[in-house]
Amino acid sequence: MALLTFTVRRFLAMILILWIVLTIVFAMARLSPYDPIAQIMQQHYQVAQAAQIRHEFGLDQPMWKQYLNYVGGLLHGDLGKSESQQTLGQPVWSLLQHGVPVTMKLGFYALVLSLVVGLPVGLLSAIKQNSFVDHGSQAIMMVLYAVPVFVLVPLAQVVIGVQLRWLPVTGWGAPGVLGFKEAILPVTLYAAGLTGYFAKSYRSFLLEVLSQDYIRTARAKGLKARIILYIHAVKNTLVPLASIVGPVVAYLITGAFVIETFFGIPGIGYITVESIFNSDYSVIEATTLLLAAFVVLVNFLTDVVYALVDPRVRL
Amino acid sequence: MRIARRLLNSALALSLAATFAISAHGVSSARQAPAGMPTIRLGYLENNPQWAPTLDPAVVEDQNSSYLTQLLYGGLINIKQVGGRVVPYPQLASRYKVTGSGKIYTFSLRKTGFANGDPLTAQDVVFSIRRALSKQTNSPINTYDSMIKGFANYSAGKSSYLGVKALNARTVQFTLSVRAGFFPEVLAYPLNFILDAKVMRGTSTNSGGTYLTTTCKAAAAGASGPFKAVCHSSAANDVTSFYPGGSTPTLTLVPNSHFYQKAHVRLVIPAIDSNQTGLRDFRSGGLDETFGVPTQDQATYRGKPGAYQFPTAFIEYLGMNVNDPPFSNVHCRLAVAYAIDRVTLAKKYLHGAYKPLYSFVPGGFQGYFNGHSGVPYYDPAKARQQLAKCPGGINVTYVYRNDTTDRNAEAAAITAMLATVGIHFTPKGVPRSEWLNYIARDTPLSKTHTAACYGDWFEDYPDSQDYFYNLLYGGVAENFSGYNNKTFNKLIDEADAAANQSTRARLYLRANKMMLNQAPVVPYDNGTAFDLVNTKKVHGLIPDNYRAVTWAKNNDWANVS
Repeated sequence: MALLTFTVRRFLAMILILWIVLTIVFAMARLSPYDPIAQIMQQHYQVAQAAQIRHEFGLDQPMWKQYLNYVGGLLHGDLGKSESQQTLGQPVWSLLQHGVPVTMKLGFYALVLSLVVGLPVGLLSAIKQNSFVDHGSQAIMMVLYAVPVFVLVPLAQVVIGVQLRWLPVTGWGAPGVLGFKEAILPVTLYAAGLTGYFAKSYRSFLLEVLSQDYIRTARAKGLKARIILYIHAVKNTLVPLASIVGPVVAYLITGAFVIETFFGIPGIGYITVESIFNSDYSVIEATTLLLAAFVVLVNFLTDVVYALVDPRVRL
Repeated sequence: MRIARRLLNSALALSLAATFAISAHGVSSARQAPAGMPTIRLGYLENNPQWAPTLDPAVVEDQNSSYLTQLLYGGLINIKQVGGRVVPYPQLASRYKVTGSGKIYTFSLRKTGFANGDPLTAQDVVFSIRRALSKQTNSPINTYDSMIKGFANYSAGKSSYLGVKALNARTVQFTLSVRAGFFPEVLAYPLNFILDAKVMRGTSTNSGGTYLTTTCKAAAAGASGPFKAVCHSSAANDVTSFYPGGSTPTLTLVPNSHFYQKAHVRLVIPAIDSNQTGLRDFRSGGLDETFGVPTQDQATYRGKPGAYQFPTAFIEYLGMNVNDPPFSNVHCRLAVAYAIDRVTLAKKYLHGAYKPLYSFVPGGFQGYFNGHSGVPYYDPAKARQQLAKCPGGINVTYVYRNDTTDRNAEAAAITAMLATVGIHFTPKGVPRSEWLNYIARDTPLSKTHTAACYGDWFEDYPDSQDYFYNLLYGGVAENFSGYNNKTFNKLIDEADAAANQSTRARLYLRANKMMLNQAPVVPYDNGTAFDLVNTKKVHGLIPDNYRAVTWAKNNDWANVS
C-alpha cells in the first residue's frame, strides 16, 4: 500500500513538473521578440498577409486562448504545426519522428562505449590502488571528465577531421563504411566525459567494497584474488553503479545538444537548436516537452525502483 | 597481473562488440555509384537537420530548393553565365519566336526526355504550366506568370482558360495579356520547369507540393533535367526514401541518360546547417564545394586555387522617404548620396565581402553600369554643397536591421561618413522582423513617419524589371521610399514591354541613371559569394552570379568532371 501511495504521489509530481515546464516554455516562446511569420515571408513581407498567416496559426489570439489551444492539442496528442519557412505547416511530430531514434541511438552507443572503457579502467585502478597505473589512468579519466564537450569537440574536429582528415566532421547514418566513420568521432567524444565519470565512480565503489569485512574474511579464508574480486566484490558494486546509470541516461538524451549541433546529427537536440534560430515556437515547445518528459520519466522510474529495493525510501 | 590482463582482454572484446554495434548503424540499403563514375559532394543544401523545403518547382521560393530543382528539372528557358552576364537560353526548347506585337511566344521543343525514357512533349509543357498556376497548387510565386493571358481567373479557379496551348506534339504557344520583354527570364524560374505529365497525373498537387518533395520515385522517374534522384527505399510516400531514415538528409543524383546534355558525374548533396559547417566539412574533405565562406575566413582563402569571390544579385541600399521633409527635397537626398564612401564601406568596414555599388541593379543585369560616371558618388565637397541647399539640414533617425555584424558595421560607418559633412543620422537597429514592418509592401516610410531606412533585395527572377519595377515604380507595394516619377515609370514600362534585349538594356540604363540623380535610394554595395571548390578533384564548376554559387559552366553538367 505504501509503495502504491508513493508511486501515485511521484506520478502526480511528474505531471505537475511537466505542466510547469510546458507553461514556462510556452510563455518564453510567445514573449520572444522574434516573429516567426516575419521569418517566413522574407523580402515580400506584407503586413496584411502576415496578419492573415498569423490568424491561420492562431497567433493573433489572446495569449490565454493560445495556451488553452496548445494544452488542448497536447491532450489530444497534437504537438502543433511548424511555423518555420522551411517546414511551414508540417506537423511537428513528422519533423521529430526521425530525430528521436537518432538521439537515442547516439546516447546508447555513447553509454555502451563509456561503460566498456570506463568500468575496466576503474576496476584496474582500484586493484592497482596508488600504483603508477592507478595515478596515470585516473589523471586521464579526470581530464576526460573535466574538459567540457564543447571544448573537446572543436579540437577533435580540427585535428582529426580537418588536419589529419581521418574522419568526417559532419553527417550521420550514411550507408556503408561512411556511416561507421561518421559515428566514430561523435560517439567517442560524447562518451569521453562519461568514461571519466564511470571510471572514477567505479574505482570508488570497488575500493569501498574491497575494504569491507567480508572481503577481509574471504581473503583470510584463502580464496583466490580472482574469485574475491569477481564473485564477491564486483557483484556488490552493481547496486551503487545502477544508481548512477539512471541519471546518466537522462543526461545522455538532454546532453545531445552540443554533440548533435557540432556534428550536424539530425537528432532531437539539433532540431531544437535549429528551431530556436527559426523562431519555430511549436517545435521548440514540443522538443522541450519531450526532453523534459524523458528526464522526469527516468527519474520517476528510478525513484520507484529505489522504493522497491529499499523500503526506507517510501517513508 | 593476470587479472589485469584478463580485464584488458575483456575490455577489448567488449570494445569490438561495441564497434560491430556501431558499424551496424552505418550499414543499410546503400546504393553504389555506377562503376567508374566520379562522385562530387556539393554543399548546395543548407537546411540540416531538415530535408529540402520543397522539391516541387512550382512552389520554390528559397535558394536551397532552387538549386536542387534546377538539377532535377529543366525549363523551356534557362539561364547561363556568359562573360559575367546573366543570359537566358532555350533549354528544353530548341528555339522560340515572338509574334503578335510581342504578346505571342511560340516554342519548338528539343528532342530530350524524362529520366524514365518518356519523350518531352508539348502536352507536358501545358500540363506543367497549368499545374503550377492552378488554384490547387496555390503557388506563392505564381504571380511571376501574371502576364500570361487568363492568369487571374485561372489561378483563382474561376476559369479553365489559360494562355498556353500545344500546337502539336513538339510546339507550344503562350499568349500574353501584355507585352513583357522579360518573359523568357520569367520562364527560367523553377515555377515554370517541366514535369512528366504521365508521372504526375493523378497525384495531389495541393499542400504546397509535398508529393514531389517526399516521393523519391517521382524525382527518379519524372526528372526532366540533367540528373535524377537515387532512392533509398521503395516506400512510395515516405520522406526517407531520398535517404536512409534517421540519417543526415542527403540528395543523391545520377545523370538522366535521356537528357540532351548528358552529365558524367554522380552528385551527393548532404544537408549542412550553416556556412561555418560547410567550410569545416570542405576542409575535412567531406565536401568538394562549399558556398558562403564566412567573412572572417575569407582572407585565409583569397587568391588560392579553387577560391572564387564573385558578385551576386544581392544589393543593399539606403532608402529615403521622398514624401516628407527633409527628403522630399532632392538636395537633401543628394547630400546623402554624395556623402557615402562606397569603396571604404565595402573594403574597410565589410572586409571586402561586398563590392561597392553605384547602379541600382547588380552586375550582369540590364541597365547596370560599371563605375560612377554620371551619377552621385563619394564627394564630400558636393555633399556639403547639396546640404547647404537642404532647408533645415538633416537630423533624422535611420532604421536598419541589426541581425548581423556586417549590418551593424555598415550602419555605424554610414552614420560616421554622413556626420563628417554635417548630416546627422541616428541609427536605430531593429530585429529583422521589426525592420520588415518599415519596408513592408503595404507600409511605405511615409506611413511609419520614418525618414530613412536600410533596404536590400535579391532577384526573384533574373531580370532588371524585378528591381526597377518592384522597388521604384510609382505606387508599387515594395517601393518603400515612395518614389513616383512619370519619366522613370514610362522608361520602365517601355523596357518591360520591349522584346529586343538591347533596347531593354538601353532603357533600363537611362532609367537607372535618371533615378540615381534624384536619389530616392542610394545603392551602396553588391553582395558577393565566396565559394571554395576542390579543383584538384572537380573540374568545370565556375562562379555563377545568378545562382550565387559555383555551378556547371554554361549550366551544362556535361562540362563537369
